[in-house]
Amino acid sequence: MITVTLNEVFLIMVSLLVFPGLLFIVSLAFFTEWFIRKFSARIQNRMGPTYVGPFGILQPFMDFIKLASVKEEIKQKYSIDWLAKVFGYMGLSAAITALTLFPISPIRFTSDYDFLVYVYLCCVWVPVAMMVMGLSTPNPFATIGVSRILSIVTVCEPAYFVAILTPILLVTKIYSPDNVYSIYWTSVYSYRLWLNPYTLVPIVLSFIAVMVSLQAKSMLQPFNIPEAEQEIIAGFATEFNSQLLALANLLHDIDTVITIISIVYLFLGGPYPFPHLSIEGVLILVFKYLLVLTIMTIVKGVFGRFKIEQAISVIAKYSLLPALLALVLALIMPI
Amino acid sequence: MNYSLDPILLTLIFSGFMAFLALVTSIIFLILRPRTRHSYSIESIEIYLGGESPSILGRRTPPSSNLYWGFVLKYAYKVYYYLISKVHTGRLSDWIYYMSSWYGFLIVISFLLIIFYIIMW
Repeated sequence: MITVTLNEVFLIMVSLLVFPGLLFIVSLAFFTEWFIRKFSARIQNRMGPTYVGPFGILQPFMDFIKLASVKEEIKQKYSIDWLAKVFGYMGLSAAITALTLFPISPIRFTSDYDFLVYVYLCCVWVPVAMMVMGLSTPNPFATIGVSRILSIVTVCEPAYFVAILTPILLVTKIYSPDNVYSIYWTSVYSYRLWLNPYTLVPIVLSFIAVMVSLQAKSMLQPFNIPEAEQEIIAGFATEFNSQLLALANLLHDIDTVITIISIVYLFLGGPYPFPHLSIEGVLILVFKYLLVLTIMTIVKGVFGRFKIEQAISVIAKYSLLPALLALVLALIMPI
Repeated sequence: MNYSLDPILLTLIFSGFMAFLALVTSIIFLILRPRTRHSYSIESIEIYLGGESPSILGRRTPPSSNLYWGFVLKYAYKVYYYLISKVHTGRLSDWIYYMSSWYGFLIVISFLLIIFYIIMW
C-alpha cells in the first residue's frame, strides 16, 4: 500500500502541469517547431519565421493562439468534432504523462518493464489519436493520409521500439543495480554504453535506427508523404480548422519533442554523469537536445519526399534492420 | 523523488494522470475558444474535394470546351514562345533587326493597302 503525503501530491501536480509537464513541454514544442522551421528555411535560402518576437521565435505560439482563440470554427457536414477533440486531448495527455518516467521529472516513476508503458503511451496513444482525429472529419484526402500514416506506423513504431530496447537491455545486463528493465536506470547509465568497446557497435546501430524512425514519427522529409501538400492537400489534417487544427499541430510537435527527449536520455545519457541541477548538466542536456534537433532538421532540409513504398522500404532498411541487428548483438553479448 | 511500482499499478496510475491532464487541457481549450459573434458557423459545410465546385469536380468526363484550352496550352503557346524567344536573345542588334523588319512589314502592308484603296476607288 502506498501512502502519499500532501507534499508529494504537490510535486506530482508540478511535474504534470508545470515542469516537465504541460507548461514546459508546450513551450519546448513551440521552440522546437520554430527551430525546425527557421533552420530548414535558412538551409533552403528562405527567411523562415521573422516578425513575431526576436528572430520570429514567438511565431508558433502566435499561430497557436490565432487558431485556438481567434479563428472561426467551421463545422463540416459529416464530422464528429467532439470525438476528434477528445482523442486530441488524450493523445496530448498520454505524451505528457510519459515524461514522468524520465529523470528530467522531479518526481519519477519506475517499474520493471516500464518501457512497455512508455511504448503504450507514446507509440500507441499518440498515433491512434492522430488517426482517429483524421477519421472523425471524413474526407477522401484525410482517408488517404490516415492510410499512409498507418502504413508508416506499422514499420517505424516497431523499429523505434526495438531500437530503444537495445540500450535498455544492455544497461540492465551490465550496469543496472537491481536488474530492473526501466527507463530511469537506462537514462542514468546509457552514456557508459558509448565508452565500452563491447557495447559501442549495438548502441551506434540502434542510434542510427532511432534517428531514422524519429524522422518518420515526426512526419518530416523524406517521410512526409502522409501530409503531402501538393498531392493530398494536408492529408489527415485536411478538414481541421480553428481549435482542432491547433490541437493537431500541438500534438504533432509534442510527439516530436517527447521522441527527441527519449533519444537524449535513453541513447545519449541525458546530463549524466553530471546531476540535473548543475550548470554542466543543464548545458550538456541542452547541447544534446539541440544536436538531435539539428541532425533532424538537416535531414529535413536536404531530402525530398519519398513515395509511400520508398518510404516504407527505406525505414525497413535503415531503421528496422539496424535495430534488429543491434538487439541481436546485445542479446548475444557475453557480459 | 523516485517511486518504484508494480507495472500494473503504474499503468493504472498513468491512466489516472492521462484523464486528469486531458481534463486540464480540455478546460484550457474551452477557456481559449473563439468569442467572436460568429464563433461557430451555423450552417455546416460540404466535404472539401478541391478548389473547384462539386459540380465541376463531379463530372465524369472533361467538357468539350477543354479542347480550346488543349489547343491553347499545347500549340498556341509553342508559337508564342517561339516568337518570344526569337525576339529576346539578349542582343540589342537582334531586337533592332526584328523590330525594324516587323515595322517594315507593317509599312509595306500599309502601302499595299493604300495602293489597293486608291486603285479600287
